[in-house]
Amino acid sequence: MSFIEIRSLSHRFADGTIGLDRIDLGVESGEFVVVAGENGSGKTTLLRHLNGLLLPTDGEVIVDGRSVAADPVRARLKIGMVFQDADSQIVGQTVAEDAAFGPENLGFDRQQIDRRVRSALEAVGLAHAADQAPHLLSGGEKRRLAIAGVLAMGPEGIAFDEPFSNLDYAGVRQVLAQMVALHRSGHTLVVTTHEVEKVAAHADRLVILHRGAAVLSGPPAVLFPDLERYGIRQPCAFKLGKEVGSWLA
Amino acid sequence: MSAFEYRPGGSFLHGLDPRTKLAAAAVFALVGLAASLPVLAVSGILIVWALWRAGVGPRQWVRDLRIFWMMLLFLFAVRAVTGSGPALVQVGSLGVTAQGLADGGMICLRLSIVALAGIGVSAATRPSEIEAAVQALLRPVPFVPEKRVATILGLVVRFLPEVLREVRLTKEAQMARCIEQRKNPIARLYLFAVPLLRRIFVRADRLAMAMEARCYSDNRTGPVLSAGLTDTLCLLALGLLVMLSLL
Amino acid sequence: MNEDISRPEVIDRTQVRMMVYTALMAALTAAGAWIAIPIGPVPIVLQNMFILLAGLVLGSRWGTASVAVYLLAGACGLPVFAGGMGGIGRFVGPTGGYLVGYLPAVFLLGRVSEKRPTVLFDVIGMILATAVIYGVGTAWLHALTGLSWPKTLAVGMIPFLPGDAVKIVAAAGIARALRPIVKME
Repeated sequence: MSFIEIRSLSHRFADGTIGLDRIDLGVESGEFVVVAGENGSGKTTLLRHLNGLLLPTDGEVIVDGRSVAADPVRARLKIGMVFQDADSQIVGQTVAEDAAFGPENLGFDRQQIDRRVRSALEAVGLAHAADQAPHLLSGGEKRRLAIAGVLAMGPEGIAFDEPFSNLDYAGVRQVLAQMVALHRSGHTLVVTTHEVEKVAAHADRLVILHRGAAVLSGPPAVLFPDLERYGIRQPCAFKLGKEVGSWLA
Repeated sequence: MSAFEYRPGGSFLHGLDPRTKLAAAAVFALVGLAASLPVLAVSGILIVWALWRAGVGPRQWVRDLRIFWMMLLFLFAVRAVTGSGPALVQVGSLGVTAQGLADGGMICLRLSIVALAGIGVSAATRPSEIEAAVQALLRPVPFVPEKRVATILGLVVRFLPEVLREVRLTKEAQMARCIEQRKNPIARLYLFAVPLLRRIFVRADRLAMAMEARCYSDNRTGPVLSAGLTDTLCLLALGLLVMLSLL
Repeated sequence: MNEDISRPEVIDRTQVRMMVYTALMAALTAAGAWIAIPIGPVPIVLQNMFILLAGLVLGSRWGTASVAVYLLAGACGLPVFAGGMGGIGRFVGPTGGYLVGYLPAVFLLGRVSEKRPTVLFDVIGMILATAVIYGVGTAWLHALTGLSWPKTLAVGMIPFLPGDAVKIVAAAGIARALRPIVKME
């Protein structure tokens, strides 16, 4: 069984609009999956089902063998979530306090919390800024802090919602490098984006969402020709007939 | 830098447990309202000394409490001309009396002590320490969920710079569209507040969701505070002060 | 990372959201002391309008909580009081009574507007709340200054009434616009 199993998942919002339409998708443990689609295609809605922030109207989501709807808290421990708006997810008044928020909620004792916070901040390269106020960080650093915040809770997978929005070139590279490192250390990654170009070179698989349905799934390079049909920009290099390289190169 | 912002340091005040400092501020509030002149004088000297050691000299507290001093001046002036007894100086129809001056001076001294003690807490205690102390002090109070109160306090401090930034952005956006042309004050308030609040509440929703995603819980690990010998001695001294002021 | 994870007792979603809203209104109240809108000759300060909105939008329970948290934060020396007047000193200063008055005022306003969510009830609630704020505020001012009552009111209430009327009418409209997006319990 896959780490994440999405079976015939549909979500209808309170106002009757359809958010997700019978999605079937499996994500293997350790896989790096990019979910692409235009605005309103259901990417964020899909992601929020992975840790029970939204619950299915129909179908089910199973994380590591257990239904998310039956036990959302377990799903939240298995899959950490990095939200699109990095500013709005900062809870603490210093970088270290913010990273400690999750482990504190899990009831660890102070020493364990300090250890987790230290190793999470080291993993994202923010150990030097532990006592700094989060709102003084750069865009890329804020996103890395958000990553540290979920890493400190020890998840197996991390879901990123539009991780590159509002980031400058340096910020995109920082976040991308972080993702690659997380993938290398064995984490399962699910990344939504409409900017396929920025991650394509590192992803194992690309899934295309269109109007709430998963229309295509496969190796990124194979799906490039179909992107524009679904309102997603093709990588520049592909248009020019070259190989799509890494943004980290 | 204002005296109300935390300034890092290792002074006597910095070293005290935040609970002790909050207790001290409360005791000095009582002293300020109830004590006699000698006790007030001793308290005043103690506070000024502790503030000075913590890096907050008279310059800072004169400047940072500007508005407060101005209000005290007003209070003093009003008291000076409303006292009873023979007038020392006559200003128009108002007579400045000796008793008025004494009353005014006393009230100002009392209020200054309370205010300066407040600065002592803000300047030498991190906001997170203050939250921790509040949580600890509220624990025995029934019907008050102290962990939630501490979380909300932390969020207030977190939100404040963000709110001020949004206010500035909203004002700029409206100036760019010539809001000054609108003369109706109600319309202006409405047009200012609705977009501002709408944006801020959307962000609050996102924060709530992010807290949920990180398993915000009631049995979360609290902060660690440790009081030492100095704290015990301070509390004893504070107890003495309370007795002296109530006598 | 193989320590035992105790199962966190997570809090109901609406509770978390109301806590965040409560903190937000308290932060707005704090910021309101700095925000002045230049209207006519005197700029009007928005603090008491946010107090009124806390009661209207969050209701009596959470509205009162947000004011209580604001006052608690200020009393404990957290940097939420404007104009360089931190700490408990603010409560005993000449304007301390108005601050303390916010608490019963918001509770009363919340109660009234919860009765029936109409503009009429909102406005009646706000007028009552404003009366409570001035009642407590001027009583303290009177005690502290020793001024006669007519003079106390002339200094501590009458000059602010036109501005308050503007704020009450505006707040009624703002609350109507805001309620649909503030997802309550």
